[in-house]
Amino acid sequence: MQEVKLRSSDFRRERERQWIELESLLEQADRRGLRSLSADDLHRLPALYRVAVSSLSVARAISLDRNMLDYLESLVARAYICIYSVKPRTGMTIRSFFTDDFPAMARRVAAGILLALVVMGTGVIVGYDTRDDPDAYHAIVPDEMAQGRTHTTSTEKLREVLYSGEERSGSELGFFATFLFTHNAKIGLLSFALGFALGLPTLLLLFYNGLILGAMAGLYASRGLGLEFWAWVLPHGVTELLAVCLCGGAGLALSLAVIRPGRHGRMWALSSTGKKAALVVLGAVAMFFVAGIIEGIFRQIVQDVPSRLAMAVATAGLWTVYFLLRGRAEPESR
Amino acid sequence: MTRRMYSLTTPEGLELELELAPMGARLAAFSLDFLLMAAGTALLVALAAAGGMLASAPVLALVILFSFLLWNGYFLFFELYWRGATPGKRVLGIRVISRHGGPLTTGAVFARNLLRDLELYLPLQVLIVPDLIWGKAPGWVQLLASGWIFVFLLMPFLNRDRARCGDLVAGTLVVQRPEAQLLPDAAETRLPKDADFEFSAAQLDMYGIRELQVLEEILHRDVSEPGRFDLLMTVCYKITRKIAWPQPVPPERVVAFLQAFYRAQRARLEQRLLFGERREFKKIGRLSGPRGGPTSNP
Repeated sequence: MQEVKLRSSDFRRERERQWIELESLLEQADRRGLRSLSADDLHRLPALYRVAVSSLSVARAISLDRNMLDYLESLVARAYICIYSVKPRTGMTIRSFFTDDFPAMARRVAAGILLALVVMGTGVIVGYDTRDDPDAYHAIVPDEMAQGRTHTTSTEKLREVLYSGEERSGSELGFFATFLFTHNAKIGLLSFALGFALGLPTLLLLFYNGLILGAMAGLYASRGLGLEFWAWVLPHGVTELLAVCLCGGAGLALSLAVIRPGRHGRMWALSSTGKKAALVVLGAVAMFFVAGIIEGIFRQIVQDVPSRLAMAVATAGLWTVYFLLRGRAEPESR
Repeated sequence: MTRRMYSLTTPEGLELELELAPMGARLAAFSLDFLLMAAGTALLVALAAAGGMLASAPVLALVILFSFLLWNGYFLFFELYWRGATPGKRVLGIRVISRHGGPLTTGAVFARNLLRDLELYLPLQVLIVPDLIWGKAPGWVQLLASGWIFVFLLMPFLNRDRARCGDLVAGTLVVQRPEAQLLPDAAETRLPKDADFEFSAAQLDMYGIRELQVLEEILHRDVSEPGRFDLLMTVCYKITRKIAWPQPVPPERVVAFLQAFYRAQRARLEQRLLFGERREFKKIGRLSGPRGGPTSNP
């Protein structure tokens, strides 16, 4: 009487073929990519995954076949990793990112961004206050950044800087713009990452940036070149400084999530903020690109103060409208 | 380092145990990716230099732009479009997944890679060219800041999920790609015609799930494995003693006996499982005498 009924063996016999089919699809996907699967197989993959999932939960309840349990455990894990590591089709495309998602995400971390703007603004004001104090200027602005623009420089020399670059060729301008873009983007990325260090380094970075800008503005203002200086900085500066504040603000949002995690706990707060903040940084990198082009090309070509100021006002207006109004209709998180 | 598991609930509601990638594998994967990026950059510069064009502004601008994209886009591209693995991770058989279950989102991939500046490149710079970072900062500031920075570098060793800072910000984990082989069912192997061993309930109740699965593992061993048969003999002897099997099993019938016992034992334990009773371990002692139930056999 050797026919003892083994439910677990019957169970296995009924489903084995589907498991093995799933395994071979996963094997192929791992080796040659999901794209190598035929449309039919691609269609079968999620169905087979669900079969494996339900097999595993039944097997855990009824079977003591260790090898089969281990196998199913790893088969489901493999299928899970394969299926859920595919980028979800959330409807976010490059286009929708720039038209709606980016400003919508930026508003989610608005508290951090406003804080960043305030801190940088404070830096500008404090720096500006040093306009009659050469020593303070010297302490704030490092020599390599001052590039000879100090309180001992003649007014004529100072003015020259504001209008240099006209003689550059087109390709040189392109190089200049690229250099500015990559340089600024790296700083922006770093100021975001520093937000993880509880925000203090980010705040310092933002404040210091404002300080340098303010000190230089003070220097020029003390020679009666104030307006011309702002006309030189702001056409690209509006975009660039805003992008810096977006990166810094996204970083600060991370620290806020660590400091005040809310009811779901620190890990959850951090990662849910992190995912949004990272997209804000992505958008800010694109803004650095725009700023690089304005600084590297537009400013070198356009030399008169009214046009430069008009550009500054135009960019400020555009960004305000963009960040306040775009992406309003968007549903919940993507 | 030992195997460490992470248990996560899939969107289907199933609890799943995944093995976290060992730190060595992650380091190796990163080194490989780093070499690939460095090789890419070198190739780029070499191409431009070969054309004698490094001096020309547009070419230089392109070199700068491409290397920026390469160093910042490499991880993003592969983790987004190559199912959570860069070439380095692929070679080492590890993958990035979302720690809360569900798909890996674009935002998560960006977040985990944006932190690399802080947790890897910055500490490395502090180690290699400290002057560049600190400038004229006083010693105690350097010391404090270095300590702070190295916390980030060592983060994966400071939490049980081996998450680096980027993983914490993105809610991701790096796991080992699981491997397992489906062997033939140990209860389904063809028994010889005369293998009609019969066990009583009392005999089958002597053992628990753990012993059953040890027996399964032994039965799965390859026939050519040295010492396999001695092991089977020993196990068989121990079982017959414990369940008070009336007569010794002749060597040529040992395998058949064990297979039959495995099958009967599994049927018994699985049946009890259905009634919500998991017997994990064997009973202490032996079954006494031939009262052990009806014994059979020629």
